[in-house]
Amino acid sequence: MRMGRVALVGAAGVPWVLLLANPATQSAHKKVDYSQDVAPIFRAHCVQCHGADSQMGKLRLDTVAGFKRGGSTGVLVEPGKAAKSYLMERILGQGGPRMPMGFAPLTTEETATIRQWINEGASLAGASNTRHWAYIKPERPEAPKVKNKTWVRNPIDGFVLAKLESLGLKPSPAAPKATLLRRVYLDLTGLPPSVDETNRFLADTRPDAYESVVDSLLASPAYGERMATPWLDMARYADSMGYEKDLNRTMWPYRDWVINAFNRDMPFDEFTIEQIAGDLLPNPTKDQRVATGFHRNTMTNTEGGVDQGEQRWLTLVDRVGTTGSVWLGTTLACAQCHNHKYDPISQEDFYRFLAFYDPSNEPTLDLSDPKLKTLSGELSELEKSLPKLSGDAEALKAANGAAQSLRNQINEMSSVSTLVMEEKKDQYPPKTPMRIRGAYLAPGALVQADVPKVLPRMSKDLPDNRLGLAKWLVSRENPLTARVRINQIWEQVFGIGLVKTVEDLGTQGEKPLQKDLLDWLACEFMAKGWSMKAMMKLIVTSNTYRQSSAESAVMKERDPENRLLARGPRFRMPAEMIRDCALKASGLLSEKLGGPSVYPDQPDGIWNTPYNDQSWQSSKGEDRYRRGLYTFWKRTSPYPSFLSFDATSHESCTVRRIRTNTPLQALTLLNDPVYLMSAKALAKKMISADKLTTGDKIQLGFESVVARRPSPRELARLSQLLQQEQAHFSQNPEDAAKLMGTAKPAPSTQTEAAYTLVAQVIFNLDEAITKE
Amino acid sequence: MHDNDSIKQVLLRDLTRRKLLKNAGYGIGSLALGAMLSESGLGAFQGQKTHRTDPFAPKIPHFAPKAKRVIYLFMAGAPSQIDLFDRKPLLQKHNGEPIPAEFTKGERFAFIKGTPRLLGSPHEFTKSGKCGHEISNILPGLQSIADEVAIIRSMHTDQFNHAPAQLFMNTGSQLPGRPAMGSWLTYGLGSECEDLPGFVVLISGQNNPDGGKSCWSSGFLPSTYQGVEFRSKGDPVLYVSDPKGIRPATRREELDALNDLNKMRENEVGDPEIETRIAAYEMAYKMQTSVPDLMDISKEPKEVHEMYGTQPGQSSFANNCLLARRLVERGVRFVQLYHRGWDHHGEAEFDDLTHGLPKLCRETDKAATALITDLKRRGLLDETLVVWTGEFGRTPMNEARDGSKFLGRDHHPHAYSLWMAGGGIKPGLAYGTTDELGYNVATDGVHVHDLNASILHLMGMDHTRLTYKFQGRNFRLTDVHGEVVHKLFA
Repeated sequence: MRMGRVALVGAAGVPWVLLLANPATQSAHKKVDYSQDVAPIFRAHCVQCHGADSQMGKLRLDTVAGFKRGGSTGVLVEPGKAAKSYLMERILGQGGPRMPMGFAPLTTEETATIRQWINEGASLAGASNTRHWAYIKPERPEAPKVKNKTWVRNPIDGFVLAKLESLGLKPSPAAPKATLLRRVYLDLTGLPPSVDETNRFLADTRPDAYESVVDSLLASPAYGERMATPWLDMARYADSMGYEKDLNRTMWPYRDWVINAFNRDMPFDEFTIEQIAGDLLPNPTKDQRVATGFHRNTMTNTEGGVDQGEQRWLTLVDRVGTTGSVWLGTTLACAQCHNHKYDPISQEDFYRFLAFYDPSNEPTLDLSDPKLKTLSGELSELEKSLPKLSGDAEALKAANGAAQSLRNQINEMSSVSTLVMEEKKDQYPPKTPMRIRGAYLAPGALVQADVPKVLPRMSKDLPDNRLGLAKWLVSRENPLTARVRINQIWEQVFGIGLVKTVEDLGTQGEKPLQKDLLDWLACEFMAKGWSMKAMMKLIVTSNTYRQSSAESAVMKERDPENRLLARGPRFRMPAEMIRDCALKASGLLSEKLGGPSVYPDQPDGIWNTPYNDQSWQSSKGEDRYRRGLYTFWKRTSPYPSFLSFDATSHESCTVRRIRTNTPLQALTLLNDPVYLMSAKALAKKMISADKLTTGDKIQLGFESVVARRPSPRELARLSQLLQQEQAHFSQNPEDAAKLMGTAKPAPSTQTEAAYTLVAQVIFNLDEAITKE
Repeated sequence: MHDNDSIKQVLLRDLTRRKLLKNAGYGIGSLALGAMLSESGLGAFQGQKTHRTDPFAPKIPHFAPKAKRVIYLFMAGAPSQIDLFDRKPLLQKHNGEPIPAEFTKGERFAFIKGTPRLLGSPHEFTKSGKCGHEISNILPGLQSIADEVAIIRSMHTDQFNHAPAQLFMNTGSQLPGRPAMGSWLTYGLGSECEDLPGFVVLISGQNNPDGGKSCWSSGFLPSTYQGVEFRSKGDPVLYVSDPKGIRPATRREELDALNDLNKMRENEVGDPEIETRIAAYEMAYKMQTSVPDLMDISKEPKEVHEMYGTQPGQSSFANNCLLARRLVERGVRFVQLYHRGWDHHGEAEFDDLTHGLPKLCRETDKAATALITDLKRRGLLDETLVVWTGEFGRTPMNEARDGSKFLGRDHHPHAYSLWMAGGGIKPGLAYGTTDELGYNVATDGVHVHDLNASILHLMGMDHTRLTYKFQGRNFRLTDVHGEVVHKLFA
């Protein structure tokens, strides 16, 4: 089947090959540096056998001393002479088996890097500091010098422009106003602007018109919904437990906590502390306890035969891996069975980290209105008194009436409880057994909770528990957290992180092309008190962001993924946003905030889980048209149209969704009833609009979806379709009746059907599902 | 460690199509790619058809494959090997006696409590075919094609609960989130079919498998490679049918307008992604014909329906077996059937060994047999690997949960049986043995990772080289394990 290309791939470095192969880039030719360039290759390919654990041939390459000493055959390099160096010979498979023996050879680039390094003298200068860039605390870089100073609206632009100028490139012109407006609406609220909002903005000539839109969007409740959606991917939020029976659970109070936290612009350090350890704060509020639902989103296997101890242990492993990916951009999970092969994370580090999570209870928190208890008490008193009144018809009637009224009130107040964390106080400081080769059934030595050795120590005044861990994550000394979070936000806006491997800033991750920009943003983030709204505002008001996203032929060739940011972002929207936008444009969207998850229409037979008779009962009324993040998330059977558009099952943490472009997506947009409903609603909007011409009506539909006026050619093509379909339906009125679902077609049905098809085409435009 | 092959694939898949070959002939990008391709020896595509550049375009395997396609019959719930394939006279002899303590010391059981008692099979076995496979009499169909199949009696796994064990069989990990074998294979090999997905899933039996849709998830691979469910009720593929009142000709008119408008936008913004989207819509349109065509088995001759036991319009394992043949005929790479209901604990009549198990055999045996016979007479069996397996085995002891009088067996990870046929498998082979009680593997154990390595090998893929870099590490179906079992091969 001919399916579309994949927009992102896991492997780092591919576009680098192209960028570096470019003569302009090569003009910035740089000496190979041991710590930056060579040591990562050793770590990736060699240290497994020539490292801390094993020194085959008496060689270890994980330390400078080991490299200098060489192995049983002597020193490894003759500085300046790659061709005569033993290291090169063995990499090339001369004078002995090719290294790394039994594994894939070094890539051409890696081999060339080592060759160049030796030829340049194999300098170990600065090698005492062999720490990977991401483990060194970011320092706020100086703003770089640029020629075109007027283009620099804020410091982001300085870094971007300096890079472009160094390569002899220019930024793109500003995006058309309407394009920019839709872009920023999508980024900050996940919804398109209405036609009125667009017109108002186009007419607003004040110099700060754009800034004031940005401020109002940041203040709108939809902002929290937009920001929560990718966070819930990372939190592996779901409404079911996972595994075989996949029973429902109540976690939506946590989801609402996230939305609310973004809307209040809770600083990211607090946001972190409450989710990791809200229960350990002094006198925690209910909200702070609900926040700890973050780590209660782990799966629970309720199959009859499971080993409960092992299941619990698996949730601890998941918590370590997730914390590592979300806050540290580090693949801690790789060290579950053995020392991390590439990054300086030992197996002991892994279990010390896991120990933070070991002493936890997993209770349920009752969130019901306290009045519920009072009312229930009153009701039961009243019910007890009823028999005594049997003689007094009048009093009995009154009492029955009162009881019924109480019952009604109680029924309206649903009882809600959700899953939270709670510390076992008697396990301080926390300890856990290591597991030999990562196997639950092979417990090893007990280790005490601590953070990975390669990272700064926990400050002495922090407790050795989850709360201490949470505070350490967001301490100013931590080199990773601010960079990792900013990189996630950058990816959300630009479609690709400053480090593409958002989940991994370790040695196997991509080296940032614009490290200064990343570091500046990280420092600024902390300086701004970890305010995410402030950082979003900074990003979306930069000139970098405001560029047109049109690709020039030259840049298409030169920088296909737009890593240099010589244009604005253009990429397909995430699954939920596609649906939200269609509902919004058609006028169907319910903007109700929060609450229990909902069940929009989905085809029969999707849920068919063993030992689970829970079924998908389609919601009624406005709950059919809520925003995507409120859709009931069943792990073994997620909402199908979201899966088609690359949403994940939320069984485990997803830091980065991979975008694809497939025929199943086309079928979904063409035929999923929710998009047909949207098309019908948009058609009604077009027809009933108080406009004179057909062209105006089409233009209204078009603008509602893509927030710009159609070009004359576009308008002509849609008009042609409308005429074609009006003719078709007037000859085949039964088709019109079927499409519109009416048994008694009126003459207007044919017009509605024809407009519905026009609306359908508009909703299926590439542009309709793309942020431009 | 880098894997050059995965990098080559990534390069070929993404750069080739999206940005470079489109503009081939000029620019440094295409030169760089050309250099990389010639270095990797893939410059000439080794005679492969090059007209397809989509993610499912056929790709060059690591070495010459024995099988080109897989039909994987997943018997979810775990069929009892002791009552179907692994005859144990000693169990019958000591029926009802407690199992010696050394077997069960330190063991974890799903449901058994206390000291369980041995349970001889209530079913007779017959030496079948020239090869003399001992097969239970409740599988008469399989007995009749014994010489076509290889039986492995020494399978073992790490998992003893359904969901983790099914995930483990499919993805090499007991936790969800890894790609299924079908995803790995379509990622690595593409598919020969242009108008159907490369990895198709068909479900029959009680309900969905315990592992849920993660059993055919593409995990961290692009979702393009996820298994696509072909359903027997409602839309065969979700949303493949036009809404009521839209005829194919009307749809065509809509798509023509859509394509024109998308092209106008592409001229404006220059994003090659739009071209891919236009192609995706065209393929979707083709699927609207090809999928119903495929699913319509009513035109199959009567003789075929009799052989499989199929009835058009029904939801059954038989219908799915026939669909599997039709899918591989069209070149689909990986077809997986799930039939759930083999979880015979013996709590009641429906899930015991004397009623429940024969019922499941009746639901599946005839059609699975017909599938092998049909593939063979069509000359497809040689290049189609058929695998029939559950996720683990069942205990040699009676479970007797809460004193149940019905016969049943608990989950058992240490030994189970499966059969394979076609696609390079040695027909009539009996591989591996268990001890006299059928408790542990005695000789030639085959771990799940070994099985998966062997299946990849038959498809021409080296399981250590079929990798994908995710979270800083090259992942593979077999984790860091797996030995190819060459003795299984013809």
